Amino acid sequence: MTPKLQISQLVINRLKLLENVCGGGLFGLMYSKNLIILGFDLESSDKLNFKKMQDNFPTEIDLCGLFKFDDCTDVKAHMQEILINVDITDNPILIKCQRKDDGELELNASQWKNGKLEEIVYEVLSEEEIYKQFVMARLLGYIEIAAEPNEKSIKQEFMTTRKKLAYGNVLFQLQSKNVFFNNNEIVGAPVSLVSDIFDLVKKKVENVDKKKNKKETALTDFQMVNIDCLVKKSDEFEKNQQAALNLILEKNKVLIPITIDAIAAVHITTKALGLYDILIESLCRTLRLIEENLLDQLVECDELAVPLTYHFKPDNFGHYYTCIYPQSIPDEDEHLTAFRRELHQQFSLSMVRPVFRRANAFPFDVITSSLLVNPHVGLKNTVEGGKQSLVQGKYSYHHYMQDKFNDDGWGCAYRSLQTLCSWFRFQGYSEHPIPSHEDIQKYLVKVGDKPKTFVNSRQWIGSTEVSMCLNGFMNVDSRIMHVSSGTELASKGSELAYHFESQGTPIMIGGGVLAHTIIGVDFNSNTGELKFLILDPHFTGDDDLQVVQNKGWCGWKGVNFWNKTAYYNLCMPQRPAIF
Amino acid sequence: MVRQVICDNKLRTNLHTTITKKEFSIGLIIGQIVANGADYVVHFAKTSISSSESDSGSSSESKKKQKDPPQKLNIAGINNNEVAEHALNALRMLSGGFNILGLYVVSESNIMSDNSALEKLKTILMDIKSTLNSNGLLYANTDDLDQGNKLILNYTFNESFICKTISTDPSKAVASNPIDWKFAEKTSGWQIIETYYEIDTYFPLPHTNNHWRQEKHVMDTIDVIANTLKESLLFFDGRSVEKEMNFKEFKETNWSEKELRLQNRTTKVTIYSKVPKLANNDDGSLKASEDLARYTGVISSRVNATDRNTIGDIENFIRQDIVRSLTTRLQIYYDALLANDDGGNDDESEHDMDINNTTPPMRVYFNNQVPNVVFCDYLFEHETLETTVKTSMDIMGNFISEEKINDRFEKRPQFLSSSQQKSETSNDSRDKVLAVKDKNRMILMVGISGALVGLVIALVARYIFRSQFL
Repeated sequence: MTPKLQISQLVINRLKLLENVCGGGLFGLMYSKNLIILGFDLESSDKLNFKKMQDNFPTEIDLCGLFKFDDCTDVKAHMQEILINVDITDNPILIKCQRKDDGELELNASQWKNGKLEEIVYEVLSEEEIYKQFVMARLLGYIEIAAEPNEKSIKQEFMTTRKKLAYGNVLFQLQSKNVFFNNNEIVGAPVSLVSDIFDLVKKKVENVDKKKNKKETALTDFQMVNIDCLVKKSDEFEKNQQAALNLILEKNKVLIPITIDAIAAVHITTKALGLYDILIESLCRTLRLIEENLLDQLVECDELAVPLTYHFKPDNFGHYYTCIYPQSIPDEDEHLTAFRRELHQQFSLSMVRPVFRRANAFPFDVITSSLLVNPHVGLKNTVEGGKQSLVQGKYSYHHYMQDKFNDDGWGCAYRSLQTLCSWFRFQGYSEHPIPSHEDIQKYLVKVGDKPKTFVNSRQWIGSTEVSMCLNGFMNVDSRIMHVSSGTELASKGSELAYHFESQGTPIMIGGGVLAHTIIGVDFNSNTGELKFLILDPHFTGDDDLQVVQNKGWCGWKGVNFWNKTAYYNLCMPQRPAIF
Repeated sequence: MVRQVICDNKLRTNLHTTITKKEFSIGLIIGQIVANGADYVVHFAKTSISSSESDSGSSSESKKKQKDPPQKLNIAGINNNEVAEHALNALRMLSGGFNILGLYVVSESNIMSDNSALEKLKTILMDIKSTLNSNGLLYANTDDLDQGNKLILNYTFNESFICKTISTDPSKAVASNPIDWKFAEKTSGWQIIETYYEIDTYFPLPHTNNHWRQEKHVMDTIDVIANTLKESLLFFDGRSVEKEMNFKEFKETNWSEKELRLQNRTTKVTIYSKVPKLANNDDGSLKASEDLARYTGVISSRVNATDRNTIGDIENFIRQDIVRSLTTRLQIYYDALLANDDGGNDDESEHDMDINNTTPPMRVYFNNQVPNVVFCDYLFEHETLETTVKTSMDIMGNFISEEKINDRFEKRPQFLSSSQQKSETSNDSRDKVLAVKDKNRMILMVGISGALVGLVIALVARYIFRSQFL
């Protein structure tokens, strides 16, 4: 039966931005008679290598077709070529993209059936709808593989391990719950669908939220279910008597530590029993990626390093992408840089923005921390005919009294600096930890800006100090904008809008009065009306999004917000041109 | 409330043998301590006490003494070390859950009122405790269950008996507490719970010395496996069972009516664990700068439980059993290797030859007098079941015939390099394929032969019939 086709809005948005490309591979997921396209990559110049990339996508997201721009003619040949690599459907999808005269992109979907293309209709799913319908199952565990540092041995040992694990020798456990999945049953809870499993995980969080009387907010990311992987250590060997414990001395082998961290995309209506096979495939995918990384290292590096897994979820992708990097090899390494360059080309990404550096890895830990990330999402503004220019990417909200540290009355600029630093960490420019007040003070003493007595004092810092610290901690330069009064800020609308559009970094504003963080502007260039999206570091309460938004600790402010008689300095961080 | 101990009546015969000979004897009480219930005694293991005469003196003196009647043994003449050594050897033959609960003494008269005898018994018990505790993870310490109070059963030649406890705590006075000891016809329905713990773990070793031979390495190996087991999940007959459920409830839920009636089902346990982190790669590099000691193979485990034991108890028995068996194997293996050393030769190739020619021992099982209760022994490659017959006699005081020894649970390990192992594995699978092919070929041949015979019979019949009608 022909599956119903759905396409992620994010895929369409990204396709619209493509220029001078011929086409590429489509990656999607089949669920209850639906095929949803969640991602794509561009075909490389010399060869189609979509199948190999499949392992980097979350399990269940597989190659499902091609997209082609109108001036490409070799569609039929390409469809036949990829047919052998498409496992999830017998009828691969082709999306024809046609640029119209007004610049808009027209998309037509067809499916390859009996050697010819048949046009089909498709439905577009919004980002939020996708986040509602799919859950990410994150498999976590650890194993070790001993192998000689050569291609044959590594391939052999990884193959043996994959076979062993895939042959019913693992048990999956819902993290912190007595719910287990083996190859024929789910033990510990009456679950039939993946949504039931997710409900078990969600219940605890919801109870906490109910106590705090939180309202339900829009989903801004996938919901995650963590699953631990346990290895079967016993069997019924009675029928096939096994050798008793033995000791063998092995020489010339290395013990490879393998941290299993694999992601699978699962629709909430998937049968829970089916999750076992999905997780097994997840396990095998991650082992294939790690094996491939080790084999690459054999060719490119003088000695092997521990392979580590990183999950990336670039802005506007709407899906994860997994890479394996060798531990202790810096991002600037020649081979890693070449690898990232290839990825940027395959996904048509800017060559001056980091996307696949280690620091860009998806911050699972931050999500579980209490800090609010992007608390401005969901706020609405009312500048008539205005254009919003906002901070790009993610940041965390830092304010008074956090980290069990009382800085009420003097730490606002320090907190604003921390928010700026968080932005550079989230965007992958730096892995440097967010500096504490003491770190900041010590640094300013170290560079000779402040006397030694400054450390552990309660003295304020200004925009210049913030820019110095950004340079010291994050290796980031800043532009300082001086305005002589709050009134003058009203005339900076277009300049600030340009900053947010070109740089997209949060701005620290200080000077004669209290410090704040500007994270966007809404500006009508015709009327000159301007509003500032302000993140206020003077908040002393708990990190509750509802309170922060409703009480205006993060909110839109008019020009009257600024003191008309006080001067201001704006520290406007500039993105380094790296990838 | 007085501590209660139940002992199978069959075990009385062990004591009667010495009573009828009017011989003083001392031995170990073996059984299971049950929290909040009566303890079970499953065996009395007599300690072989060597006579002091044989240890010293010239040969002429010895010959002279051989003619004299043996010196009468008593408590005071017991060598503590001999009993402690016996306790260590006996403990190694017990499965998890069973322990040494104390000592029995068969004597002419009651020794419980003799303070010096009690003091001597206390020192023996303390020496046993010290020996067992200093021999790795054998799970000999039962202080959490009996608070260090060990049983002393005194059986006199006139068949009266009394049982009391003595504390092994040196700070406590030698005051004995009474015990409610009962001999019963049917003490308990012991069930067997079985698993095979599979190990395939690599321990990194520095290149520079024979690190694998060091006691620290052995202890580290045992610790890692014990800790992994501690955190592991155990499934009973494929199910996750509440720890609080007792074995009776478990049986009623999972066994068929017939199995309940016959009480003959062996419960199988599956173990799942997280893999311990043993690789040393703090700096992120993967260098072949170390050798790897690879422990590979199975540790079979058979433990006994009664209906009163909870699943939590049984899980502990299994964990104890696997670690006790691992400890025993490695200790006697390394002891054997050390014994083979020719006086401190540090040449590495010599040591390699040792390990190349010797594998750790395998486990065999034999039954106790109490139905279903199993003990075990360990056999090296060159040893036969006869060794177990002798060990059982020496340590447990039990005669068992070779046929009663069960050696089907483990296959003897053989020295193999990893590459040899792989080829053996592939040979195994090839052998299986060939075996299937052979079987198929045989079926085909039988079929063809059958058809041919049928054809011949038909031809002969036709010939006969034709001859008749012609």
